[in-house]
Amino acid sequence: MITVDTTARKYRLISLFIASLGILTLLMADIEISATDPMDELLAILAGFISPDLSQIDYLAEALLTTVSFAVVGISIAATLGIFLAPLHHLPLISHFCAFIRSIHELFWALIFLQMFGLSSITGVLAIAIPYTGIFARVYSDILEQSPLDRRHWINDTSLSVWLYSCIIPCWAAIAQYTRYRFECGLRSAAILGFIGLPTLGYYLETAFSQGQYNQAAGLLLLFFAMIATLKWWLNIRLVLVYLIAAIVYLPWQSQLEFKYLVRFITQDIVPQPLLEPTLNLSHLSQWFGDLVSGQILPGIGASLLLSVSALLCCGVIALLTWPLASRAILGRGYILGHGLLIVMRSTPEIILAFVIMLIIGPSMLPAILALALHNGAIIGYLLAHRADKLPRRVDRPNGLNLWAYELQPQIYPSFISLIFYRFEVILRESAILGMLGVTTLGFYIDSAFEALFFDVALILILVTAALNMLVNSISLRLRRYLALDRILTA
Amino acid sequence: MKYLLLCCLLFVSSINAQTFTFTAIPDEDESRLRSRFDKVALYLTEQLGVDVKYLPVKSYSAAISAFRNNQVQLAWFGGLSGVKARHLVEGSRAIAQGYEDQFFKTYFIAHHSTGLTEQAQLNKDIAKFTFTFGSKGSTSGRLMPENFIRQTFGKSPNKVFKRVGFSGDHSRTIAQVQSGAWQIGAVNYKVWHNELNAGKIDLSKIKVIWTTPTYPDYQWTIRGDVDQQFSPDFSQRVQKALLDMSEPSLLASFPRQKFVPATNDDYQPIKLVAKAIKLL
Repeated sequence: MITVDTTARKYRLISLFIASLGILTLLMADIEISATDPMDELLAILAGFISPDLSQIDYLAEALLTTVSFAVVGISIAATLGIFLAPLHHLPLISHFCAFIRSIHELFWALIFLQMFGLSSITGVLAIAIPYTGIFARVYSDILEQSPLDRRHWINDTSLSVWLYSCIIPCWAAIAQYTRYRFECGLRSAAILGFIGLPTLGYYLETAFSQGQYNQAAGLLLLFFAMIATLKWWLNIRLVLVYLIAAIVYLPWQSQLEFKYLVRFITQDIVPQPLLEPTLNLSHLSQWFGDLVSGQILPGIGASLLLSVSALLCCGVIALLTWPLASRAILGRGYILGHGLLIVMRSTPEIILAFVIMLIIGPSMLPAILALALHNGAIIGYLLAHRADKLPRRVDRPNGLNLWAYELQPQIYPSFISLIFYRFEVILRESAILGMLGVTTLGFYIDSAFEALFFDVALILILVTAALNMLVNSISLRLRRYLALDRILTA
Repeated sequence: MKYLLLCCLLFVSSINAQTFTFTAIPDEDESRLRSRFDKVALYLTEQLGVDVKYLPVKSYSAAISAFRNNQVQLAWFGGLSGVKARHLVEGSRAIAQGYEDQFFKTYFIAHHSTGLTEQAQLNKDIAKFTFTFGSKGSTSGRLMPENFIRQTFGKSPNKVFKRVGFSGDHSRTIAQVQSGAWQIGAVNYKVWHNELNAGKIDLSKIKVIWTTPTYPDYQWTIRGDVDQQFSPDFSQRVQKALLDMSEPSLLASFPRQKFVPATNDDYQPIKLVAKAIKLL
């Protein structure tokens, strides 16, 4: 007798697994809430949002144009390379390479290139182009795999036109849609690059926020929200080439750095210092490395994992709670409000979310967990709502609460689990940049090493972060296979 | 083709133009930093007779990297960042410091709920509370307070306090201690007085509980190769231009009452502390 499992047993199992792991890490994590009196500061922030002000910001137009230009050029390069890498993504070498380059946060790429090219457009564009190439290659290959055409057909005939017409064109709609979504992320990344000194919106946002000039901070944030919310009107796929040329012409390309400094960075700065001593002293080297492992790498890995797994659970809960708010099928026209809420949640940089939450509940790992959860939960919520609204409508379908609970939620649950797995990778990467809360993730130590100009230490820590990310990635791939989720498109 | 030509032109002009560039660590009032320092650049252009530009940076390490890579030839550094920069660039010299930098100090500030009061010595009771530094690379917000904490307790800050953080900069340290998010913080005394005068500090919520002994801090550091790059007495002329700066609106950018001469040796105490804490 053949039995077919038509129940959701696997999904229940995996949900239980994520939930219990999340609760366990929440119990182990440092989530103390301390009493504060944040009213004055919160009122000041609120007052800022009531009267946002952009008039005090010099070079605002430059910041806006640079942000868009970095995103346009960076994403264009990444999408192009991604398309060419996608058909090769089944090769282990390529897929590992792609996993490696996307596992390093764009801020860390930027910090590396900062040493090689200074504060220049090359730094900004490469910091976006490189990790996004890894992302595009993987997702495009997922899309191509689901192409209705037989793949052997085009592998045997390797001519470009066969590949283009039999493979790319049939998937064009899905590819274009995904690229558009990623452009939004690219804009966010470009803005955040300002935090380390590139002249984008984040440059002024960070200044205004750290100086407590909340009218300006609010003005900049609202401007950024508006930019994202109106994306679908100004990002026309037919205009991409025009934008690209305009951006390339607009950005200043000359690097102020001499070649010898680049050579010095590669041959001296990033080499572990004990190796540069005139005579190789093995005991010195092993002590240097041992101190690094016990003092930074192991505690860093521990804190990063605790933070990420706890944030993953909270992120899932937030996504499940918020997606119905942005679904037209459930709320009708009211969905616009939820849609706006999700834009605000996902476009506010995590570091600012964490700062505001910390004012309210005091410093611990909790503000970092919540900031990551709100940001990523909102992204998943948005994607789920989008997916739910595209489901075919049955004539006899219920409405309201029943529609949500019995019709839509069960149907999009596989997408939800699939997105959660993918987002874990992102959360782990982003946990790196919340070191300011005194949460000693790997990113905290990387930031400290860059700040102290110990580039050798920074590089080793970045490689450890990448290895951890790739490990997590391969585990999540296995779980997805188990669930047969790899047939569900990720985003 | 037009664009290609344009790019070539830009490239060529960037090689030929002998621009003297300076930067300043982003430590004091950061608002309108660029337009304020563009004025300083204008002043230096007039005094030196070469094109002077200001390069804005976001962090101490970016300022040091720019100096090391000859992207800037002159920089307004903090004590620690200056020591590091001079350590990395052979021949570079401290040429001027603010009048106040000869005897700089850090305030330890506390939220009123701690019940701590101002004392002449560092109160050992602070160990019960949470503590935040400013930026990781700051002299007044990190290096010197950490030094005095180590002297008092004989161990590193994260073993002394209940929790230790880095707020990112002095203004945020004040805002976060005032809101009670952190109970104690270490802050640059000039920033504290600026914010006090601007009405941003509520003394019923937050107060100074200890003032550190004085130490040398901010200074102008110049690369050793500028005399070959520009003219034989160029560094002397830069020093003179800085010492002669008297316009209050220019000095307010730092903010200092005037600049006085400085040498590398003035910063020996900072260097020793940085080595002891393994930040150098």
